[in-house]
Amino acid sequence: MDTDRTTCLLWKEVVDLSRSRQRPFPYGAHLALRVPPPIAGELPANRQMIPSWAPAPAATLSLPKGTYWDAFRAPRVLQFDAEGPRQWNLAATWVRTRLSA
Amino acid sequence: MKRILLIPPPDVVGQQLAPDLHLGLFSLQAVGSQFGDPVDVLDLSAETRGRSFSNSGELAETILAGVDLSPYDVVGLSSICSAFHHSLVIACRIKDKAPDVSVWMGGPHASALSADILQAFRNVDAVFVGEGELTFAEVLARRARGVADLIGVAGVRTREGHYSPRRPLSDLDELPFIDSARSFLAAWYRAKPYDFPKTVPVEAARGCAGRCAFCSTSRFWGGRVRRKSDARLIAEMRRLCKATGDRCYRLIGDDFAHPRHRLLEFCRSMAQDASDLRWVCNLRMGRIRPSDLDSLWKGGCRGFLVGVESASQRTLDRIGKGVVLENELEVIRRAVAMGFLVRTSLIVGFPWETKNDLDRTFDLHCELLRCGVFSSAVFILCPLPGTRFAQDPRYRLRFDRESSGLAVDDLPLDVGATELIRKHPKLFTQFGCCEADHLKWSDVVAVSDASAQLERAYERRWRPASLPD
Repeated sequence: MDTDRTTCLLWKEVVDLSRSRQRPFPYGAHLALRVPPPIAGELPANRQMIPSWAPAPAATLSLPKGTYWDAFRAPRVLQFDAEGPRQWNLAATWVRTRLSA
Repeated sequence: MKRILLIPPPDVVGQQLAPDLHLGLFSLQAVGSQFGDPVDVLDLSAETRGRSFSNSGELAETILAGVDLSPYDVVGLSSICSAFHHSLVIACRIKDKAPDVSVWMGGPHASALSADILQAFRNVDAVFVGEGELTFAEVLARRARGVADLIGVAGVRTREGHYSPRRPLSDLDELPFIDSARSFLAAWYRAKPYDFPKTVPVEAARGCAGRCAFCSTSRFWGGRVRRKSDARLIAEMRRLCKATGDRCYRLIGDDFAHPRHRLLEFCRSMAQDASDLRWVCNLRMGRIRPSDLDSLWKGGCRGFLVGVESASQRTLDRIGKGVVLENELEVIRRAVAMGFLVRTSLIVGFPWETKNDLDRTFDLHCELLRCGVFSSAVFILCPLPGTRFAQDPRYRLRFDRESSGLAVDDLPLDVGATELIRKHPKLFTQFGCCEADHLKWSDVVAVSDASAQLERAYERRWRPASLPD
């Protein structure tokens, strides 16, 4: 299986939803996304991502204080918006290029 | 004369046996109730259901371990495509345990391949072709007279006799009520916790007026839609309501919307005589108009499954779906807004599809979820036996790719099953995939996989236990 392609399709849906800022987020807190390859190197491994306007997941993982992850409401989840950090734009770009490949 | 044991096709979900309810077998048991009740439907113990399996052999051994075959001279195996390889292993184990017991097969998969199955597998003694009730009734009547063989019985293919087809039952009202099958209610109670939303299944119609290239329904049940009368259906639901206390029903039939005027008449009858009951069904949308939804709601309908199949009108036309996609989507969107629980299903991997078709179908899946359907599934095209994709030499089948989710349960194919498929590809076309010249197969699999992940996340978020009132 082409897991990058699967990840790309999942991200595409989240990117589309983010553009439309659709609420409620139809997948609840259960949609756990693998970090797209272009930003995998910039983040701790195995982080899951959902946009910040999605509900927080029920299960969270405590991380040491003072780390990068402190900034986020649900520590296990990297949150970001369409207008947000650079990673979001990287993910959106990756989706576009991967889909047109 | 000894008794007959019917064994449902095993369905493995997460390495365990799912408590599926196979109405066809209970319908045969109900027929048996008119001949002294000589038919048992295998009832697996909770211990067997709680076990995990790693291959077909282990599954067959476990299913048969708790079965005393001494009261039986016949075991009937129902076959569907995803369990056909399991059923063959079970047939083999039965013959090992009790060589004198006859093994009969029936169901859609065996019906499409009856001659080939008898030629390839000596452990299968007879195949019941097509719908089984009339054939089974004749066999039971003969057995009541002491005649055990099947020679000359229309609708049964054996190695010895000449085969003659049997005409399907013309009036479904002649079928016995399903609750006259002794094991039906107990099986339903077992399956109920796994059913969302919780409904009691009642057969409502057989046959399909559609001729979709991927579907085997009209080949098995016939191309003419036969419906139970409204009075019979309501009476059947009332009986089950009295027995179970449940008011929600799943009306089984692939083309319950045909003919449209009969569907609307049924809705009127329900509104008048059974306004307390609720039901879901399968609908082919070709003839349904948005305004019909009001009649459906008033008649107690609260949900339906629609095979949307593709986001490409070109594909819908090529498979003979006979719908205009935009009209169909309009009905679906309106139904969701009204509160119907709408299930949709889509297919990817048609031989002519392009990457654009694939992406559009994925987008449609996402759009349907966002719009609020109850569930949406995307399957890889499954070349079912007897369908154009399995038979037409223009469509080249490959067996080295990931199969459709329709073809396999959660038990990975073991070495034995893989060898069976390699040796008899014609009998296992469901495990093949049609060569698609314009697609990378990894893209097809990724769409199916991503769709399933989204569907699972979506499903976990909201899943009503009962139908809306």
